[in-house]
Amino acid sequence: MVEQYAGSDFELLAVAVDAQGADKPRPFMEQAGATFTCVVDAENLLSKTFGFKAVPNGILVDENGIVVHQKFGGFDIRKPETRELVDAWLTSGATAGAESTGRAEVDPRVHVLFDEGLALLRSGDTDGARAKWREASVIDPDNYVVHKQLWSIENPERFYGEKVDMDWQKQQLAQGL
Amino acid sequence: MTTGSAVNETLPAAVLPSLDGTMVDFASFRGKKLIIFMWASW
Repeated sequence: MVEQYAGSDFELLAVAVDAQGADKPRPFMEQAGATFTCVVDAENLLSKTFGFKAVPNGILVDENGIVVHQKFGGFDIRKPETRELVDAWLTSGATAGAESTGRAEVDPRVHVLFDEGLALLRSGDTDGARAKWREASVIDPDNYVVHKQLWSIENPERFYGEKVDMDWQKQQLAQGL
Repeated sequence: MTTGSAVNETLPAAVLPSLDGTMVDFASFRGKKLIIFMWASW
């Protein structure tokens, strides 16, 4: 992506949302030969401060730090409509159409349970973490940030192997897991 | 104060560690256009 925009005067900041910390996203970034800044959100901080239940998300911010466009869930630069939007904004500063999609208020109980689960995970209590996150996903079944963290500790082989197994995730959803 | 991020408003304040541990302030990109891409390896 960055290569395609070489010469444009902008910065790209990638945020890896992963409770298991920098070691999980690092191989992906190294493989991609990333030249931009990549930060890690292991505490699910941005879900709280920005308000979202899914990734990938894209936020376009102007020179003055003002948000001009945001899309939470399904922001994919490979999609023509996303490319056109980003291209137009970088070239002319224009944005068109829906300026904000996918923003979601998250039930505060979900954040509390997520944080409690995270503390348990870090203390080595994976089962305890799983129980907390399972409880959170019952309260908020549409919250994919919680849901996928849960899956990733229950079934690491589906996430951190050769590729992320999206077909498996669809099957899990179909079964209501 | 409203929570969350809204169009035509200032980007919410956030500071997160980079892959090498350096703290990155989201406000430090002022003066340039910024694209924030949030993703997960899962």
